[in-house]
Amino acid sequence: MIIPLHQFRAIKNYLALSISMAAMAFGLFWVIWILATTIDLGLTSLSPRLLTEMTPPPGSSSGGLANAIAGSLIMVTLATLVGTPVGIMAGVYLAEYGSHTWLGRMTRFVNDLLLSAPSIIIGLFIYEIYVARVGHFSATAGIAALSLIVIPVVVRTTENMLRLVPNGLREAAFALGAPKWQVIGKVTLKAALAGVITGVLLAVARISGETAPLLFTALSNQFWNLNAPMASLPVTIFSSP
Amino acid sequence: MNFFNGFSLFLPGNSIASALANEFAEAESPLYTAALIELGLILFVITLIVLSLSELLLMRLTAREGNRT
Repeated sequence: MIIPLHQFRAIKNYLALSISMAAMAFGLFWVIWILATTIDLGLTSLSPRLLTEMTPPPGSSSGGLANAIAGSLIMVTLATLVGTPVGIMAGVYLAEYGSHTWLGRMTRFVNDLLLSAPSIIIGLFIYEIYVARVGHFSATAGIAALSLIVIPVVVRTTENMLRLVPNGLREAAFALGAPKWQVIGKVTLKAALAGVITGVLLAVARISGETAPLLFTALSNQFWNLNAPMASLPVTIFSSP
Repeated sequence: MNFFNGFSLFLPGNSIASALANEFAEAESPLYTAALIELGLILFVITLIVLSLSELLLMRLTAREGNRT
């Protein structure tokens, strides 16, 4: 029996489609299971106390997560504020000035290295150069560790987004007589703004879930002071099973 | 935690990152701390090697692309 070509192609199409659908279902299955378990186990503890009370000592049944939520918010916000300008400026250098120079290539490689370095190494690094010298854990150290994670993410996305801006735009701005800093600030960065902001948001999403770098730097506590250990959601989850 | 009493997927195991996270706070002697930092260095070197390999692969790919056109 000979299958006509159009039918053969229809069968192939159907097979490929069902395989990719199965792959999607496989991924969704786990996501939904994780979500369902979290909601199922967590819903009973959802109450106003969660936002108003401090973390309880182990064993007691009252208390909330107020200090951990506030600590996470403070550290993530400050780390983003520190890391974003550095990241954007380095990304601009890589895309606009140093794309073919030796320094640019080297910077890109080191940035990739920092991007894929295990976050626990960054925590150890900050522990050794800051916490061990000062002698106590502090939120400042946590912020330093988190901003070291923010920088490579922002550098990478900023550079890639600036590369997507068509060269014609730059040439047009230069033809109008704009100096390079104006071309970058008012034309290319503006054209890539949405992408750059996406990069910053990606970095925020990454650091708000990081446990390892905070474990050796900010630790966990019930104070609000920046120069003292500060609680955060991931570390609280990690240290109170 | 497993101090290598046996090799099986069903025994408790430890990755470098989890060993660091669990033991660093309890390390008292300087030697213990130094050993854990050494573990961190090993992990970092592994990352460096893998990343260098991928960079090498990319460089070879782009070099070949130039020849084709």
